[in-house]
Amino acid sequence: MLASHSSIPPWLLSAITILLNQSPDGVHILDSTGHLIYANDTFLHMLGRTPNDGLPRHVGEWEALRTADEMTDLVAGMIANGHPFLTRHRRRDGSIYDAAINVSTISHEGQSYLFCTVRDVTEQRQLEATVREREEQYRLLVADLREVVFRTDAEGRWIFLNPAWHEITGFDVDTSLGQIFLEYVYPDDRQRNIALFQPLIERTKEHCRHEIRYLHRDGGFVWIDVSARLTLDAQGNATGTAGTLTDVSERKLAQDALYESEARFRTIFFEDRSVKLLINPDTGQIVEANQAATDFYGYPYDHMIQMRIQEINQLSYEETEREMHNATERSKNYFNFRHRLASGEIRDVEVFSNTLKIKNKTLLLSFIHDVTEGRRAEAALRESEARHREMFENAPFAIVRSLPDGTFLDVNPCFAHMFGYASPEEFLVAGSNATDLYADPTRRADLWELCQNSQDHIKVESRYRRRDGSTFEGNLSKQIVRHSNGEVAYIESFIEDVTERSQILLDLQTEHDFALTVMHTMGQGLTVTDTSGRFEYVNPAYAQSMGYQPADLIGKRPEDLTSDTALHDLQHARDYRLEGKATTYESCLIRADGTLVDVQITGTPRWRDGKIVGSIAVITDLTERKRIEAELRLANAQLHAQMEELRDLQNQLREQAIRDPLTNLYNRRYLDETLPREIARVQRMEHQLAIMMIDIDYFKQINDTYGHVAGDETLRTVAALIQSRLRTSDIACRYGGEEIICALIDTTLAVCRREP
Amino acid sequence: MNSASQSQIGFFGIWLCDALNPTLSDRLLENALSRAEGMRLAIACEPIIQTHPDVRVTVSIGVAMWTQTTSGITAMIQAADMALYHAKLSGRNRVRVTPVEYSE
Repeated sequence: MLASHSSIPPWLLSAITILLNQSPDGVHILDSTGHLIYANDTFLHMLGRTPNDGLPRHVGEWEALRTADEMTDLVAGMIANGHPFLTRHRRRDGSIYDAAINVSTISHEGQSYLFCTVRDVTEQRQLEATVREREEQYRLLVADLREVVFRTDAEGRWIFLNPAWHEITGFDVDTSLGQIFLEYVYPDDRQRNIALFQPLIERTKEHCRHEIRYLHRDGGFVWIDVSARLTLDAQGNATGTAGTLTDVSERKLAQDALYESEARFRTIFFEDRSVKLLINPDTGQIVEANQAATDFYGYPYDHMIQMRIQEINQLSYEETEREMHNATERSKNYFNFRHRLASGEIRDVEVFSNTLKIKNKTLLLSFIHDVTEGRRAEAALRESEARHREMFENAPFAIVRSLPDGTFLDVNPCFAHMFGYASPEEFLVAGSNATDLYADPTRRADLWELCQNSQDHIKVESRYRRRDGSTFEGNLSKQIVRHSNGEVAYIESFIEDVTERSQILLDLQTEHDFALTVMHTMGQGLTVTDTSGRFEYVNPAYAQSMGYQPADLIGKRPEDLTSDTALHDLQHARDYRLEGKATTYESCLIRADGTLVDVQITGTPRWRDGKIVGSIAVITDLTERKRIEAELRLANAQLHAQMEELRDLQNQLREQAIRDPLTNLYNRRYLDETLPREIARVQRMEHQLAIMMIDIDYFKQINDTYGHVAGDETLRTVAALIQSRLRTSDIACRYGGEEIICALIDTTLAVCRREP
Repeated sequence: MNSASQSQIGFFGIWLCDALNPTLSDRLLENALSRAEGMRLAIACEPIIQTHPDVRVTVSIGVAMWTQTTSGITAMIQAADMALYHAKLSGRNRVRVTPVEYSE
């Protein structure tokens, strides 16, 4: 431009010089070899020179990054094709500044020159470096945070997520970016989440915070404490949201577990079928009774909880108190009591008691187990035994069971009468030995030997001596009964007073008729088999219990009625009997309808003319006994289950003991126990601890104005609001009436300490 | 610098000021105070009694920080209590921190 106007008026040149010297930019002109043609005052000042110092001659003198030769080449290049560039200049005192240089080319009289404007950008560059450094520090900071730091754009797409996102949800940060955030919210919570964000979008709130479930990559969900605010551009338009996501699953789970444990307490105490009472051990007052208890005792609930246990327990006042005192000291947790029902009926009960601490009071939790039924079952067992005994007791011949050494196990009344005693008891108390029964004292030993030599069975006549010394002739049938291992169990003898026999024969006509009558009327099953093992006779009791008519069974074999599992025992017993021995064993038979029945079989060989001609078996139904055994096992199992429940209950109540029941915050005792520990930890781990003491304003007025129910509600709601804003590491406790203390334990210090 | 990076600086700046500026304990105290303030606000804004939703319930909060010179738990609770007392005295519904270290 200058080249085409060779004659410039001097005033214009002066004006240009002034303008150049006042420019904020350093201006200088270089020729094509890099020599300085012109420099304004600003540039000289930038280089640390005054006009008096004279001009530097060549660009190499102030350039800090390149040599003079390099600069000469560079200037030549710039003249051909100039572009802005950054470099560094050295001031006269040797200090350096960052220079941003804009260049243009000037042509004059065939020569080309480089017109340069220089700006000192040192401060700007430093600022940029600082920002970069801080962004890097921020990046490191958020990278280590346990909370997710997020930003979304206006459409709700993730535009920033830190690595904690992957830690908490399992999703990759890179694949999540650009996705709509709502897709990561648990489907059931999406509607709620939209509603919660509404105030933010409508700009009625600047900040929103809520707990919501986010999907986890493994298919489950995590509870997230969302804290979000709008991000705004310079004009105040919303550009998206930013905030944090904190994983609070652990706390939620703990809360759920607590609710569950409370529910379980209610379930165990109130809904279980076993009878339970909570009793004040000092007064005997019934504090709580479950449905099973009111059903069992027959009192209405309202009446029940006004009663004292002494009104139910049939022990005297002093005895009951003593028992309860024992229970409190845990010297014993199980009693046999007799409890009276509303109907006046007395029941045998077993009471399992445990002490519990509830609301600082010691209470007795008692499980009442009605054992009357159990006792009845025992009685039934005895009864079935009694039925067995019935025949024994009423038999018209003497039956005696004795041991090889001559001591008596059992005799029947007929035997006692036969020998001149009023009753079997009288005989047994007299302590006679079997040897004494015989008129000849050596007779027993002879018969014992004879019996063993005759395959454990003999049938002889013998003379006996009564109590009064008189003697009589009797028919003796002696049988050695052995255990399956061959040991002698006992000796069973039947003695028939032959002097009376004619009378009996008169009544029954024949011995055969008599035997048949006994077999027909006895309650146990009786079978007679021939040598081939087929039934020759079965009595009605046996046929009936097996579901047949007696006639149906004649000619059948025991195998036909025996369960496969018991066939081996049957064969074994039969072999044994063919050797002439009696056996007793348990077996399992099949009824006509296919059902199974457990039985005990006592088999004896039948003798005729010194030969075995078959066997006689007495079959006892064990169903009842097995049932009672099973019941006992069941009762035992239930008992164990109840003890298990009791232990569970104690665990839950231990949890209750550290909670304030109204607010569900921890109680003061827990704080007193925990705080020293926490402080020790704070010191050790270099964490930080703050204590907040919160007091509800004008609480007394709330109580007075709106009533205590509202007062309680206030405490609960305030406590819940406080609890909801705590982190998992924090502890909130109800300290006094309306005072709440929070211990805030800051575990993020370690992260912060990383900063310089 | 363009306006996008400027707003980013602004967003990051909040973090940076918190994380990098003055002393650590100041930041932590500020954190505790802001959390206390958050609780106070939440309680003051929410309806507390269902049957009287218009009734506003407020709380006063005293905050104390553990420092290496704190002599014990009792002292710490007393410090928080004293801060609470100040909060009550200066009109209730506010958060106060113990101004000086309180020792037994």
